[in-house]
Amino acid sequence: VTLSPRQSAPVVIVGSGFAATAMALRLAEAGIDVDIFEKGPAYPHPATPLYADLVERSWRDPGYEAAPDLASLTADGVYRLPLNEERAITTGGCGTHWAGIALRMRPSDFRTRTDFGFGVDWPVQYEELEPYYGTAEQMVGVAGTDADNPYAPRRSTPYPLPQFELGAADLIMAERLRSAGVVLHTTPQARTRHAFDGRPACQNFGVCHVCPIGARYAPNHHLDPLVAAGSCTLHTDTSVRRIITDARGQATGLLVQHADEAEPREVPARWVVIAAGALESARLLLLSTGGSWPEGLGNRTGHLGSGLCFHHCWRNNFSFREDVFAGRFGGFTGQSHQFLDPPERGRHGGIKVEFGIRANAGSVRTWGSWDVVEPQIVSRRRSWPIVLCGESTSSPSRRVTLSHRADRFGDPFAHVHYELLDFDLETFAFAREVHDRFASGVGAEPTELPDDPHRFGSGAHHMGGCAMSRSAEDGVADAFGRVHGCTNVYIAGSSLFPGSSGAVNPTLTLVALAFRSAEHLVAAFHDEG
Amino acid sequence: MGSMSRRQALTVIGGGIAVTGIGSAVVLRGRWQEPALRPLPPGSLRPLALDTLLALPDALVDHEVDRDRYREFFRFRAEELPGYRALYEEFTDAVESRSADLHADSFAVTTRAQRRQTLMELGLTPEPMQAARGRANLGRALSYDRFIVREVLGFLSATDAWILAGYGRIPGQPRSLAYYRDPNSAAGP
Repeated sequence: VTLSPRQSAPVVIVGSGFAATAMALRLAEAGIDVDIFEKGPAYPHPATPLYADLVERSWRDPGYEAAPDLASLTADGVYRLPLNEERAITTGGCGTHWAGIALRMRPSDFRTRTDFGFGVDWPVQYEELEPYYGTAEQMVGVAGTDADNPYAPRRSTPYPLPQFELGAADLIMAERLRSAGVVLHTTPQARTRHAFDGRPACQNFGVCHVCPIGARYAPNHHLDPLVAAGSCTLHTDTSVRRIITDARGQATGLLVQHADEAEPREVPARWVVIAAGALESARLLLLSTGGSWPEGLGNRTGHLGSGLCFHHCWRNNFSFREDVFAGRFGGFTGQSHQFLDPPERGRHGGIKVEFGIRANAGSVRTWGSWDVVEPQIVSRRRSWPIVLCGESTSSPSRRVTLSHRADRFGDPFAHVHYELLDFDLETFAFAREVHDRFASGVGAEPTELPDDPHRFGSGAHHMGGCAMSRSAEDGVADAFGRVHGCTNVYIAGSSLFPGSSGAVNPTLTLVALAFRSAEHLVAAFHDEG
Repeated sequence: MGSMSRRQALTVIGGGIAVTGIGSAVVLRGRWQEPALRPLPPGSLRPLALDTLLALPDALVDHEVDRDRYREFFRFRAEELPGYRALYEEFTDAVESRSADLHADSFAVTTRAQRRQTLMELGLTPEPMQAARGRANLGRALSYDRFIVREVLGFLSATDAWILAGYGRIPGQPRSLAYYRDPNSAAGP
């Protein structure tokens, strides 16, 4: 390997998604420049070209994501969906594709061991994180209200934007559910209910993953100005192959390689932030062996890669005799947090219930005369998909290791092993109870949640693998994301989670944690002079 | 940015042997082989080919649709993505030949029912043709199904199907926030 040192910013960040952007923002405010290394290509913001490709051509350009021989993985175990396609290896990361749901975890989610006897208590509690949740909500521009949600956690700052009201169809369902003792309320989400922070008001295009006006937040909204201002240098198409450490086990820089270059180069750094998503962050640390880290950076106690969690999202489609015309909004309006903290939590996990955005029903699979086609099409306006998002918990049986397959540079991909636990099977049983209560409450045609707990999606919520812990014996990083035993490497993102984020979407929590870590890094930076 | 997507890439089967240049699906040693496009250069379509393709969507659902919507859909594939132009032209020749035999007229000017009959005579089936795997003499029908009929139905399901289902607007348009809140807006303007 030929190394050619170069001048770089004092802080280098691996990855360019939510956590990386939050860190870069806070560091830039403190006058600290950063270099960001992103394995994927540049991504347009707003995503107008992708919008045109989708809406006019029904096509998705693969050139906006890293090539398969740079970003892939292998997997075994019970997870059936193509895991690699849940990631977005591109500038802005998963933030370019996310649904925009921006929820706070509940205080009890941070102390499940103490309160319910399962999982691991987080080394940071809700009250400590609460101010950072407010900062995160400002960054992504959350539209919401707690006025209709009796299950929302305490907050010290208002939502930056008013809520997206329940839709006409939601209101009918909410009324029916009220009679069944179920609360359907609005959904906090990172969409512009009105113009905000340079983003225009949402116009309900309904194809939010390629929002042509930037109404749904993407990290690129902040990254692009940071780059333009010169406080951030973005290196796209550049894989970080190793974190280089000295004899004391401290990081001295990165070994990086551009997709089109024949040789890697060394980038010196005083501080390193790993914010590459749960799977890639664990992979990079596992690859970074040497010196005092023979099993991978941060892996003195064998926890690196362990404790991977997905959410377990079970779906069904409610059908109605009458027209409900669901799917008239691109985001999410009605959902229920009533079952996040159920009485028997501990035996099983909590459930978040949401009505899906888009009905799968209504697609034409069988062509023919109108009497063949019409029933397929009409089903769209008489159906509503329901998603039951189940809490999970960390387990050594779910982990990231290194694969037998390698990328174009010869570095092993991540390998994911995932199993369901007895806890998850109990959560599935609870999900079926909740499902039936909703089906009955909304007056859907008789239906059952498919009796197969393994038929779940992760929601693209990949958590854990580099868990934070109070003690170096119990995890990879401390409560600020700093790697135990390596004071100048921070981890940011959902890889830090010691368990799942309850049953709520992880994004807002990982952004809040990133702001907290950034503050810690800024203080350490200034302490060091 | 004009490279082929992962799903359009040629499938690797048979213990790592890359099967190239196969335009239709085959069943090889009991394993299902996805049809693949030949990596032929993109280019402009003959007017006849565009007319033939534009006559497809409304025939498939037996209902009027916005034909103009499909013009860019077909043009883009033919002119930007490898393999589509050749497949479209080949499909046109096959369809026109069969339509002339059956109805003594060009595909585009026959009735919707006649057009569906022509497609059936080409070996196409109303259901996705994966269900037909193992059937003998599938010829080119599998490729026509996978890369023409199913892609048209996918696009139609994301666009015209909303209108046909009674929604006034389709995703992709700026529908306004009033649209989803107004109980009377579903049927649209």
